[in-house]
Amino acid sequence: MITGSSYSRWIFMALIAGVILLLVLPKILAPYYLGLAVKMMIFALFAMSLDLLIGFTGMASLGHAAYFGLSAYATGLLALKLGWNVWLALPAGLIMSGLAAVLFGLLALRTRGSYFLMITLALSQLMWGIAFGWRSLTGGDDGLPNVPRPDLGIGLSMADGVNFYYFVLLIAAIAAVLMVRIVASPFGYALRGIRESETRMLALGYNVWLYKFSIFVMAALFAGLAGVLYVYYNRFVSPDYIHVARSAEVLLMVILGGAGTLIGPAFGAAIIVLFENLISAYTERWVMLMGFIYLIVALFAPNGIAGLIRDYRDKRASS
Amino acid sequence: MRSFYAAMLLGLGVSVVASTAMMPQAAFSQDAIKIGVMFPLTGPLAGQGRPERDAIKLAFDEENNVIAGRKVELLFEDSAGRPDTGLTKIKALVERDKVHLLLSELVSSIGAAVAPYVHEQKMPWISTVALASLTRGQKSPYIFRFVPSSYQYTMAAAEAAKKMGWKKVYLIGWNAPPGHEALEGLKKVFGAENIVDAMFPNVGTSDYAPYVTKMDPSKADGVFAAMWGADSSRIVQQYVEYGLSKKMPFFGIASFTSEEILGAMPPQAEGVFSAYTYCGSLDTPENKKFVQAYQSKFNALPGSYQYMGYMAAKMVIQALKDINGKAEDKEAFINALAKVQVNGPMGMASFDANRGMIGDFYTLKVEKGADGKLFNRCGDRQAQVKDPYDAFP
Repeated sequence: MITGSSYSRWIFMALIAGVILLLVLPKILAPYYLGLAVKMMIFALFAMSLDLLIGFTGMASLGHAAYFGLSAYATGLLALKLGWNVWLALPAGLIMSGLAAVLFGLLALRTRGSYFLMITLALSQLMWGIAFGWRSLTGGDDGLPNVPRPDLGIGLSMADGVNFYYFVLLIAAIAAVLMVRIVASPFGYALRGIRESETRMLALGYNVWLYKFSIFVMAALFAGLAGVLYVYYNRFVSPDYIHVARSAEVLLMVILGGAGTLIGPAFGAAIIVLFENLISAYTERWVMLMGFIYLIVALFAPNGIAGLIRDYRDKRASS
Repeated sequence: MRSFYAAMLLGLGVSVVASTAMMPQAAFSQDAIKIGVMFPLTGPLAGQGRPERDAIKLAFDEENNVIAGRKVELLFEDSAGRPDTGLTKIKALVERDKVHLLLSELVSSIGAAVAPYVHEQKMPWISTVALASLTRGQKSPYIFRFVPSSYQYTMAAAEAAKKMGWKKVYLIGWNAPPGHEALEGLKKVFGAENIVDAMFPNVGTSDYAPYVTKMDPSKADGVFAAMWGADSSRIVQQYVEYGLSKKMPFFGIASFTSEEILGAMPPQAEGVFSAYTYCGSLDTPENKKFVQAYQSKFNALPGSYQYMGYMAAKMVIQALKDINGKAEDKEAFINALAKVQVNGPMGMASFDANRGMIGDFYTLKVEKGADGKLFNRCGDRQAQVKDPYDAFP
């Protein structure tokens, strides 16, 4: 029989091992792979933010890229046109995502289920349309190239891949800890309650709307943070950041990894980024391969990779 | 078994690291010239990307993949038509695979995203991206553009139509940079007051009736269209259906009637004009050889995308020969490439001082051949057209 405490000990050890691994990664990896690791971390953050909505609150959004892209545009434009440094441009990007989420939340949260999915999709495509059409500001389809890397003003060059890796790692780690704290708090448990039964939570006296609204804005802020990091990573921003294809991609990351686990979507993101960049060097049929993987996950692990592991553990524990 | 969860987590982490750390794309011989070839091979632009990549392969196959005694290895990547994916793949080619040069891409948003990185890395990049800024704001000694820029091909089309007697014109173009840049080009040639109306439907519009019905043959001498791919055959279809093709000539900008699209055009598309650097039916030995070689290998007629890829590769091959295959010497290579002149299927081609393409333009007219299929008849030639830097600095 397995006790809870021995599990938490193992998880704690795995966590320590993971942290050490992430800290020494720049010593192990060649520059290109380190860059890929940065991309993985950014998308892990993005996928975790969506998991707050899908996995913990049961709100499936198909427009999460809107907040990712809006903060990327805000930060990119301010850094490029006004020369704002990261200390100003990063919060400005977050404020942009937050404001958009407040506005869109007021609209979208009047619906639930597939209607919520459709309205988030529509709102994000609206943002895409603006980014695509407002050529004088956003550069239209060609986007905004030449965004500078962040300048921390402490003499560390972010053009250096290793420094930038640690910069992203630090921010992503802080954000990940915050998200774990959120879902482990009483607030987080109330969210799970809403996921399971909104009416029961209402009957218990919870202000369900306010809970949903708060997590909607928080998820947008974390997605916005990922967007800011991504614009600094790529050094350009284009309407592609907001497109529904990106919202769908991050949704797949969450489902592949296992919704409602946070760590699952992070791994889901890492796996998809890896696939997109490694398999495609060998075959142009990599999109088909990805399709097979989704199919296999849907058939044999409907709760994602994390769900598969959990089921296995439960089976062992009960036998 | 109690360690299963933790072991899985660790295992996942380690395998992620291990798989990223270990894999170079493939094992190559030390002394090969490595060329990174990235195009959209999946997604909506794969229809242009794959044939262009094939044409690049063809050009190197003609050299038996050996230049100045050195083997040439082409490394292929798929940009999926997305700028962030494209940039990551370019980084893979440069940093992981250590290519000597890039012969890549046709999507302008990817071009804009890749340009700063390529410049910083001092990596020679021969692109077929029609983005005007590559030889203007984003210009770099390492960036070459072997395709007419949006201003270059619009001005050439406008000049050709002006010669045919057009004075007042309509424009229908994509609501995207090439569509809007086409308007700027037409204004320079015809004057802003002679653009009767400019309409910008979105990319992928399925019904052009609202636009076509606005065109009044009594007000203008002709219509310009700046849209490509499936949209170009759709607009022609509806232009014909509304009976306008008999009253007012239709002029497609750039690769509007490229061979791969021509097959999808309605039979009444006969008479549609365009002007571009490639004309499939041009009667020169070089072009016949190119068409025959491509057709026998890939069982399709080459169009303008194939021509751009093929010729860009020819320019690279000539420059590599000029420096005796020493691709490691990047400065020598870019200096040689800047001076290269190649007599290809469409005559002489070279690069200008900003590393933009110079080549002959032909006025094309869609006609029905003896076999009943549509083809481009090659008309007037505009010799050695340069990117109009004076008009659009």
